Amino acid sequence: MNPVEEVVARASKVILGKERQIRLAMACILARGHLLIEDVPGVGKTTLSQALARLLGLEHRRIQFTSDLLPADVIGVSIFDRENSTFRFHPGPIFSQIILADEINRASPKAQSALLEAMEEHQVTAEGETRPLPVPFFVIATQNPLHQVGTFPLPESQLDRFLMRLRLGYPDAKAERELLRGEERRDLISHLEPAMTAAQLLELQRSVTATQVSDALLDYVQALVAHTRVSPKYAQGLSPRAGLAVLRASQSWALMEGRRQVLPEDVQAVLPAVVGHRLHGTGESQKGGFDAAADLLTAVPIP
Amino acid sequence: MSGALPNAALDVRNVMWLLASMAFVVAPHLLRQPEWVGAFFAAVVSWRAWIAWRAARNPPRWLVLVLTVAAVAATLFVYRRLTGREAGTTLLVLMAGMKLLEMKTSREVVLSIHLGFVLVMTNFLFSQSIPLGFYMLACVWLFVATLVGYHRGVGRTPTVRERLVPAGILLVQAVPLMLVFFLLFPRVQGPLWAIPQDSRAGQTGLSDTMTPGSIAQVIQSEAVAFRVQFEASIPPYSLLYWRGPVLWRFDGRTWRIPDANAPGTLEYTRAERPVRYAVTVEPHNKHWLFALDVPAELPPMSHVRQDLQILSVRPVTTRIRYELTSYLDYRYEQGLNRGYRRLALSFNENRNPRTVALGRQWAAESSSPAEIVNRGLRYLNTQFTYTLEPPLLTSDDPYDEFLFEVKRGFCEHYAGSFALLMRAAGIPARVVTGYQGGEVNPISLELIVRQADAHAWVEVWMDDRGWVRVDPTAVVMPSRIDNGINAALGPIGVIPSLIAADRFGVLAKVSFAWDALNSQWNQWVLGYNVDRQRQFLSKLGLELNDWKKLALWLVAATIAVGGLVGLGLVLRDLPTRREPSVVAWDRFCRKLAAAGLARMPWEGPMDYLARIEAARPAAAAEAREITRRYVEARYGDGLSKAATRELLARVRRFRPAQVPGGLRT
Repeated sequence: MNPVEEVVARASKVILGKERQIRLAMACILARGHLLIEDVPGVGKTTLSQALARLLGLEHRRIQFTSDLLPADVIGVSIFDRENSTFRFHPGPIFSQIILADEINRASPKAQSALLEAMEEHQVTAEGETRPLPVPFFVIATQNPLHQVGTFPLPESQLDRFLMRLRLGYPDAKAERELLRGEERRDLISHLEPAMTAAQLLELQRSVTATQVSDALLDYVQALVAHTRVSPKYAQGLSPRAGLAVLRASQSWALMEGRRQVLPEDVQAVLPAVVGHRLHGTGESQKGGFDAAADLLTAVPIP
Repeated sequence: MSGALPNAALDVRNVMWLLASMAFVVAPHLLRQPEWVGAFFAAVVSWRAWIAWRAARNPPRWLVLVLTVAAVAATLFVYRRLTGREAGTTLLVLMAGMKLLEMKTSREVVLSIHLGFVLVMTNFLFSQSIPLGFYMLACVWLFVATLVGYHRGVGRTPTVRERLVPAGILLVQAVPLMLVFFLLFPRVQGPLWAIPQDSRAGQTGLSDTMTPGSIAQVIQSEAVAFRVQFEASIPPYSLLYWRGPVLWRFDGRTWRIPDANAPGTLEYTRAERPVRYAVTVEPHNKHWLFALDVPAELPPMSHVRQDLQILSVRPVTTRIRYELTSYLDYRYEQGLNRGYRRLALSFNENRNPRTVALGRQWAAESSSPAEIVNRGLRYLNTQFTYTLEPPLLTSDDPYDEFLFEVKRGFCEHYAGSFALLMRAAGIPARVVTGYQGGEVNPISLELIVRQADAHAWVEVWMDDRGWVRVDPTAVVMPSRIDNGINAALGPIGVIPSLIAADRFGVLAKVSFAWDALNSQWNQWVLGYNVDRQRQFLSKLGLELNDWKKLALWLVAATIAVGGLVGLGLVLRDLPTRREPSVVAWDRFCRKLAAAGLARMPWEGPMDYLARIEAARPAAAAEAREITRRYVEARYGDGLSKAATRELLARVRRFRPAQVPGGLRT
């Protein structure tokens, strides 16, 4: 079994009945994108992110975002060293390969932006000195839906930095029964063994960009993006960055499907997760991002 | 972010565009209608703008209802009716305003925009001039631009450029259809509805009564009365007498047309120097048609009185054009029977005693009528002054006052008093009104006769010569007749003053060019009637003599032109050449669709294959081969020529089994 399938299979044993979401999360990581998991508390957001971190065999840290979190709590601080009479930088939790940013929308915008800047730049500037972050570097953030009490919604510009946004949803009856019967999830996670090495992961990431993208497929991606820009059903069209994100995620999905070339089906598989947080419906319906993305799929014929 | 997104149609900028377009299209109406209509419309538009700006509530239903009833009642009160041109447009403008106010849904926005197009049309009921045409074209452009913005989503309201450019392209695309409709739409003889009376129509320089001294100042209107295109050169100014109403009845102050006016004949004892010309008369709502003295023939649909005045059968409510021949050198000896002779000699014995006495004195002292006429002219030549601003004649004997005290006046004074002098001297005389002279447009070589060229002169009866034209004004002020009124009095009004001050003649050229353009517009656009249409089409080799054939051609041409434009658009959007693999795949999908398993437009090849495998196990293996090759060609490395041929062959051979009913998707 190839390492990707191994990761998916093992994670599926911890998060029951959510194989599709796990595959999407994996596709996101292979496409070198950051992942946002959004859902009500208690459906396994944190469990999923922790399971992934362990299975990928990467060094990971968890930051619990709270309303009093300060940027320094994320990035690190310089502390005066009496022996050498100098300031010494104590790196924060951000200096690890996988960051689990829990309940990111509970923190103040200031703390949020500290993380989000690091996500974009892959480096951190503290006290006038720029420090690179480790490679690979991922953020798996979780957040509560926006109507929950005590949240600071992420602005659209920062949402854009996440390649995908996933929603887990409630488990079905069978999975829930198994969950209620089974072991404590945290114990399961602590017993998880890595399914791949960092080197394997980097190799896979390189293969993603090597998958074949034909002109016909680019036509399709462009048609999708163009549709959101002219159709009155969307409040705002997709940006070129969003189009690029769709393409990278599709490539990654094609690779996971074991294909060298990207097909429209790959685009369709990742599209709701990739554009869901970048689209808003208009008019009387005012559909949320996921529904708007689903509408988009059936509105654009494959050229 | 979770705030309610506004309805795209009622986005502030879209509403503002709609309001602005409405204001533009309604503006010309408001100039014509009572002030309260303008005030009401402005109030409603501002209110709607405020609602859009502040996202305020629309007015409650009952208020809209009350305002509507009030608007209808006010219209009814002012016009005593709701139909007809003025009342109808007033009501339409008011209701358009109300519609804006209550506009809440997308449907109502579209309705308002279409109402705007109707308002564009109604403007042409009042004027069909070139500037208004361009203005309304701009209005249509604005409305289409509004429509463009409305079809975009919220948050992406297009910029001015993004609205105007597509709207302009749409209008340009409509031009071929517009031409087809203009050229081929069956024309109706006569107007379909009351055609615009431009403001000039009411204020003709002529009337069928004449009361010298009743007005202190002649308002010199630069409005065009008619235009004349001569076939050969233009005759001398002193012969350009355009006959209008002839005044016989006289009560001591006012000259009027006779109560009964027998039909005349165009028979002359001498008829020489024929000139041929075409007259285009501006609408004036009277029956008068104008011809040079004396006409050899009648314009169509007209008749002539015994005093040679030509009357149209129907009032001249639209611009009409007719061709005529006139004899400049003539002798007219018709129509003075006993009754008319008495009328041509009658005057009120109790009025103007000094004038009457003078006439009688001349009669006593002279041997022939010709001598009396000459004496009269000499008399006026001595101490009289021509002015357009004479003092009012207030006494009961206005002609005495004029001839012996004031001695200043214009053509009406001279014609009136001269005719009275002649009658007193026993010479039958009548006052002829009409136009004299005109102005030559050096660009089109047309003679433009304006309301300011209105004139009055006298005809006296000589037993041996018939009716002879005598123009006493010519004696007082020869230049008025020889050069036209502008030359005699200097320019009238601001624009002509500018033109006169224009040393290099640029303004004059512009003014003449504008008039020539108007004339062409009148002839070819507004005057494109049944005859011109037939003429034009026969030049194209089409003999379409009845409207049914014409309608058929119209339908055919509409379809042809619409089809061509549509085809052009389709071809523009078509990819230049389709890949063979796509052709094959389309064919494959069509075959399956015919067999009851159509591909959804958004369905990818692998998903489709999965569905085929499930629904048509028999065809699965072949479908898999075809799909694999298509995917390789379209999304993979591409196929070799041989492989492409094989794909095409496989698709050709492909025969999915028909499954009856039910299993379509």
